[in-house]
Order: sequence, then C-alpha cells, then structure tokens
Amino acid sequence: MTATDGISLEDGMRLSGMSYQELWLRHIAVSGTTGELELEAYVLGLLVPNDYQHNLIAQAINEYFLEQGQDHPVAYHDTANAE
Amino acid sequence: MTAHRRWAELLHAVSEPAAGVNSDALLRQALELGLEVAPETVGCSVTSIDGDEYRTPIYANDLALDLDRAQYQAGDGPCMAAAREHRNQHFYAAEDGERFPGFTEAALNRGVHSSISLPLTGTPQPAAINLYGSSRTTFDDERPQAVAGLLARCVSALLARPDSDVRPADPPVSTDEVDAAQTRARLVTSAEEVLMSRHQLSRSAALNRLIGRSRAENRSIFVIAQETIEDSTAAGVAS
Repeated sequence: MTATDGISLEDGMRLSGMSYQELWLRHIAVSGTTGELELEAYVLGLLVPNDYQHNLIAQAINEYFLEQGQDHPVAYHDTANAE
Repeated sequence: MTAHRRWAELLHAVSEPAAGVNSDALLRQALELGLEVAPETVGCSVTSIDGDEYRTPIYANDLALDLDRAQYQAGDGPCMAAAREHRNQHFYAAEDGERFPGFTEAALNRGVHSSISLPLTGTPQPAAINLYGSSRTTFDDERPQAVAGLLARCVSALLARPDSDVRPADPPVSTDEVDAAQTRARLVTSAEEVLMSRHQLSRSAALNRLIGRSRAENRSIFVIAQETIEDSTAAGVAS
C-alpha cells in the first residue's frame, strides 16, 4: 500500500474540529456507506480500512478543508492510477 | 485475537444485532478493550443505578470492581456522579480529594491517580462506563477520550439489548441532512459509473480518478463529478 503525502485521518479530524456526525454526513455525500460507529473506529485506527474506504474518508475530511480554502491535507492510499 | 479484530467483532455486533449473540461475552470483550484505551489504563467497569442502589453489573478486572465498591461505600464518587448526573466526569486524585474523600483515599491506596466516567445512553437504568488510570495524565489526551466515547456508545447499545425497546438515542442528524448527503452521493456514484463504463475501471479506480482531479485542481469532488457527468452527456449528444 502506498500513501500520498499528508496527515492521518485522525489528525485531519482533530484539525478540522468537525464532529463525527458531520463527518458521517460528509462521508455519505461522497458515496460512503459505513455506519457512524465504524467510521469513527476507522478514523481512530481501531479498525483498518481498505484503500477504498480510506480514500472515501480522506475525501470526506478534505472536502471540509477545501471549503476552508485549504488543499487536501489528509493523505490518500493508492491513488497513483488517478494521476 | 488482535485489538483490531476485537473492535471489528464488537462494532459488527452493535451495528447488526443478531439473535443468539452472547451479549454478556460481548460486554466483557468491550470492557477488556477499555483496558487498552490508554497505556496506563488499569481498570474498566460499568456502574448502574437500580432504584437507590449503585452496582457494578460488569467489570474487566478486580481493581475496577474494588474501586467501584469503594465509591458506593463512601457514598459518592466520579462514576456514581456520571451515572446520576448523566455528565462526563474526569477525576484527578491529587485535586479531587475534597469532593470525593473516601474514594480518593481508596484510589491512591491502589495506585490509581485518575479516572474518566462517561454516562451511557439509552440503557434501562442510568449507567456509566468507568476507566481508571495509574497516572494523573492517563486520560488527558484527546485520543483516549475519543476512544472511550466510542466504547461508551458500543456498551450503551449492548446493554439496551436484547429484546428491549430501549435503544441508544438516535444521533441528532436530521432527515433533511441525510437526504442532502444522499443526493450528493448519487452525483458521485453516477460519475463513478460514467468512468467505470468509459474506461473499464473498478469502482475504486473510478473514485481515485475523481479524487485525483479533485487534488490536481484543488476543487470539490462534487464539482468534478458534475463535470464528469456533463461531459459524458455532451459526448453522448455529439455522437
């Protein structure tokens, strides 16, 4: 598994100040289907997401930062084929 | 079994309740995970209020049971307060001696210098989950508090089962908010399907394409998804 430069899901959540409910809504919006408790466990590293799940969560958090004028601080996994 | 595996089992049981599941075993497993909330966590238990009585229906180890009982004998303590007042309690032995004198002495005698107690939601009786720490700072960081919060919600759900009408309170997320999120999700999913069809990609690879453009152009994935669909429509019209 390769990862882009950036901060972890947990650090991204901490920096954003978002609630987990807000993240859950953002995660649904980017087409995620993970339940709220599982989502929180992924962010805290208690569960290990696959690359697809990780990237959905990373995008959900990064959408918050985009709205604040920042540029995708949270790292992705295995997006090389997209660039 | 790894902690990841145990968390996965617990969360699966909580999110998809099934008949025949041993809730007592899951509760024990949950409280054992409580012992891993922070490196210096030395005890984990649940305090509940049954009428006028405080009791400990489940605990991870004898130390936690002893400290719960010390509170009940003393007449007050942070775990009792959390269950009774339905508020988080962060106890520091060095500073809270006047508030909980009997319990503080018992805690220090057992090498416990801090605790956090989080009220449980939706349980048949008022209750709280308690975590005891061997240093003053065991639970000071954001992470152990976040993990404890997640654990509290899992234990709340387990204690509300089985066959109980009592359920943890639904999160305060409105139907409108969920509907709005699902509308956006349909946009992203449609864009993924366009890319999957056009480039013979898996869904994961299609998502990565959208993310790649979002990153390269520093724009929202929803804008990228909308453009992807519009481009596809335009191409279809042109052909």
